Amino acid sequence: MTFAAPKRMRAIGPRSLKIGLGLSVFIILVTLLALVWTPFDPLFQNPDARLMAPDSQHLFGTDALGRDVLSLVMAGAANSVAVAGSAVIFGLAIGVPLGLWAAARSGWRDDVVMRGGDLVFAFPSLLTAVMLAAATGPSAFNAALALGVFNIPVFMRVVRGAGRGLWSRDFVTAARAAGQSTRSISIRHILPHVLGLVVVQAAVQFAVGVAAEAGLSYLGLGAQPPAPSWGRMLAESQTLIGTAPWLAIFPGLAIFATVLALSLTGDGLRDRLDPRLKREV
Amino acid sequence: MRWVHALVASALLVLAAPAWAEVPQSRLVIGVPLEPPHLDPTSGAAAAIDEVVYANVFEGLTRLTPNGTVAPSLAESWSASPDGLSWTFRLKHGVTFNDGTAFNAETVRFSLMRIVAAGSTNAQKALFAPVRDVQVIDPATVVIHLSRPVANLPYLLAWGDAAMVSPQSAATNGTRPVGTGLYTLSRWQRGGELELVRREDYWGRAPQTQRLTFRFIGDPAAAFAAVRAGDVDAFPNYPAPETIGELKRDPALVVTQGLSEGKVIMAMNNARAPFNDIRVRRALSYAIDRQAVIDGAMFGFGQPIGSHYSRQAEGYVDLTGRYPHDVAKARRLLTDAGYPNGLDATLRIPPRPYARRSAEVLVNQLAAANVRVKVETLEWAQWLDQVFGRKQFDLTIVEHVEPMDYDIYGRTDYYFGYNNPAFDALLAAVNTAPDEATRLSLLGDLQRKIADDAVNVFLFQSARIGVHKAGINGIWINAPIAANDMTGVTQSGIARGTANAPNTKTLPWHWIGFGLLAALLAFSAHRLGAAWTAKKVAGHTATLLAASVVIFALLQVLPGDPAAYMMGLNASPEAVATLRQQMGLDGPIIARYLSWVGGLFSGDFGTSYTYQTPVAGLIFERLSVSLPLAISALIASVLIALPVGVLAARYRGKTLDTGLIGLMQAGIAIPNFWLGLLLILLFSVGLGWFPAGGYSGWTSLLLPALALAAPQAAILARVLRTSLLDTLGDDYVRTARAKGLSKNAALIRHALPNAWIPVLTVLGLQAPFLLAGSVVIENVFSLPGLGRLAFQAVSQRDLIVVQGVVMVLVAAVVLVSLVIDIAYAVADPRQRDAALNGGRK
Repeated sequence: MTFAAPKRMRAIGPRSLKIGLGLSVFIILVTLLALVWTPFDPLFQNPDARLMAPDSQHLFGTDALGRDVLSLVMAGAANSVAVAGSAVIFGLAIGVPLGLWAAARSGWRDDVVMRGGDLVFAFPSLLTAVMLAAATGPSAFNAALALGVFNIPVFMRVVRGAGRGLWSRDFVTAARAAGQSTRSISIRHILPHVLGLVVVQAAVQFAVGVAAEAGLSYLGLGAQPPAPSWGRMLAESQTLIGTAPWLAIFPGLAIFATVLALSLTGDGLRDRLDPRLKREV
Repeated sequence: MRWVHALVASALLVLAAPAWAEVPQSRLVIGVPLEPPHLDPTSGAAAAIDEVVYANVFEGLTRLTPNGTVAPSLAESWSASPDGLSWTFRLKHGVTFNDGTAFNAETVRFSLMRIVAAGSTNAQKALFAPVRDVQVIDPATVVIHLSRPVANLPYLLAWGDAAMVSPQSAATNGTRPVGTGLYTLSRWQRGGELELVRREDYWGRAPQTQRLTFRFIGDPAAAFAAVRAGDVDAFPNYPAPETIGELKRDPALVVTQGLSEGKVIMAMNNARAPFNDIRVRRALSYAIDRQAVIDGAMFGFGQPIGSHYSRQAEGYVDLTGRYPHDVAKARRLLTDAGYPNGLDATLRIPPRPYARRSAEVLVNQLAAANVRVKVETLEWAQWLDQVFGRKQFDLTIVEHVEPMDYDIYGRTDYYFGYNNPAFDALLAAVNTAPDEATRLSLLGDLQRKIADDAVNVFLFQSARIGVHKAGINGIWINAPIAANDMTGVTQSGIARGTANAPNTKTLPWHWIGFGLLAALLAFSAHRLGAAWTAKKVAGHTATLLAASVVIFALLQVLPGDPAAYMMGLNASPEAVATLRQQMGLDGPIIARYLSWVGGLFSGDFGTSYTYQTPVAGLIFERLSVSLPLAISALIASVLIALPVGVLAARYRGKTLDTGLIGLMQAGIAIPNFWLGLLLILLFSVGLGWFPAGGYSGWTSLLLPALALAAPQAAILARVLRTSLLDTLGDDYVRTARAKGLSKNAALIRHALPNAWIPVLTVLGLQAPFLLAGSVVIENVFSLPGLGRLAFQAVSQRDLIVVQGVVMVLVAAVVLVSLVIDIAYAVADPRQRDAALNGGRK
């Protein structure tokens, strides 16, 4: 390629997909491992080992109650993955059918659905999630719900936007001529075509969800103690940042690595799927 | 590009504003952890209000000294009749309120009868219930008649709840306090600070300090930062015990440790199985290692208690040995009670650091005794509603801050459900004790009864940790009442450095805003036609209206009662009900919605429940922090994105490009609040260049703006790079290149101006979210911004403020999308035509 013709060049190299997938697999393995094994019991408090700097025994140091930070970070992964993952599933379960429906029915029904999506987008998402989570009572489940609400219009738009054009394509006309119902065309023909896009968007929303969950937990609106949570660990680290900086560094790195893994995967998949789409990013 | 100029200009204007602050003489900045909702000590939750106004603004007939004894204040002397039913008080002469009205016997009668009157919202109404009448003998003498003897009446009269108020101003003391004290309110920036100024016509000895500034810093991290940076002169009730070790090493600071009245208990629901069984309650008392709780949760600050009684109170008996830590005994008691395999319970705690940290330690200790505890953190309003109000709990942890509040164990319907006629008899005996010696001995029996019945698990008495600059004398070390009596404080040899009173000058923003909007619409009607403009405006207005319905409906279903929140722990249900009615919370929903929306159109956002001031004013105040923050973040993100995006495009495919792409990926993935923490670690803790939190002028916005900007910059840079590469492929650039223009020149002169469009779109879409998205960042840096206002308002159930803030943010989003629509239509008439023909893209 020459300098003059970069129109179809990739936004991000194919390397990003490899790095993203590799990192994602690593994080998933650690998350699963933490379910059965961590170096210490993450909830075990050792009053004689409070605020110990990282050493060979406690690789990430210990916190104010003498708990092992490495074990807490490992155990906290499950919480992040569960909350962000549930939020994505919630968004998928409602957003995709709505998007398919809106794409199939143009006119006022489409208008109503899309206007509804606009309405949700007009709300400041994080602040509204804070409001919802606080209103329903702080817990991991409610955090997932509050974040999930904002995933609905995202998936709805992706599916509707891509699905809309497909309705004028020949294979749809053929299916229609063969007597298939709108619903069955949506499921059998439209959905498989937009599935790739949905997967890409799911990876992106997963990344967004992990970061947002950390924010909610930081404000005390995520998983409740003593369940380990990265965001809450950061909140608790703040007053000790001068004396025990490791408390602020390791949970943050974990959030960073997870978000990075997922967003690299999403970007890489997007490029792999359809290079033309990159311009709409 | 003109946009950018305008943005920069307005940002500079806003940023430069705080530089005009004047430097007042003899000012004392006091950090306080809680902002009072209003300033009337005779109504509602008293502690936070007393911390500001007690003795400083309002005075009572008597007052408490730093060591807890009762001293004369507005009354010179007093005596009781032999039967204890009438008390005669001799009043001081020549006392005036700060509005000039005179204080006399009539004032006393008014103030005291107001407490016990029907419809009173005084939180301590129950304590003063025996007051039958106040008789005016002469202007300087009153007799208080009681229906039953109250031996400690002079002590009760020293409480802030019994402050003397003037009939003319009693109703408005919440926002314009009029007291007989040394100071008057001069300024109150909600969520930020409050300033009291010395009265020149004070009736007594004038204090040395001319101005008292109370700065509200509830967040432990921010409190630590403010003390370290010297932003506050004193923090008498310092909320971050974990940082004391570090502060003690600073020779310019003095750290004190005194006693507070705060009794932290793990309350048990005595009315509910299994905690209605005394063996179970005792088992839990044995299962707890108090010293370990104090060490683990309070970093060693605090002292164990054995009953609901503070160590410095008169008549205290040490009962800490009643239930020594004995896990085996705890298990045995549980087995006896029919729980050989232990039991499961839920611990529902309020969102306070002491409660959360104590819970984490207690869960482990109880597990050792086979009590499996699940912790649920409730929001304060929910805790008040569900635990305190409806008694839906097994266990909870809470700090009771009222002094001598043993009477709560005699209340029939109190939250922990203790009901014992033997105790009630004891309580009556205390109240009618013929002499002091008998009373004290009865108080001992009372403490033993509470401990024997193991009503609750008594954990510890909080230490009152204070920090102040060396050279300041006279600050209370103990807190016999939650107060910051500053009237006796002296300073020596302190040159106040930077005074950072935030600037109060503001431009008439709402008129400027209206003007700009009108100009925009006029322009749109001119260029794009009135019909198109009207259609667009109607569409966006419909979105706004729909949003207002959603917001309002959402907040109506919130659990929690704003009135209960405002009244605090010790308030009577009757006072709460009265307040609910006064706040207009019992009207029909539709009517309330219509009146709210109607108000919005005239710029009236309603009146805040907690602050009792117009919501619009609160929002404007917070915008003066959030707007500069968002704008600086926006500018910073452009300044970072521009070179990064251009360089990456210029060296496409080279190592530099790969490196910059990696940087962009990292920037997008980094959580902005973690970046904020890292910046604090580097620049505040490490290098000491910037304040680590709190708002004291534009320097405190630099780090948060940077943290907010980084992820946005990464996104912008990526969009810019892609857009540049696309433009470079366009024909006219190719032509320019063919004519011999260099790569750099083609990039800067031709590609860049055209690549701006997508960047500006992304920028425009992000801008309103920078305003709202900073809620976590504002918490990290403890900035009094819009997001924090909304966050606080949600937890205080100040629904009308939440409605207002969210509405403003939604309006900002809708407005920006209108601007983008107009800009696009101007740039591309085909879109306008398509829109007019009713087609959607």
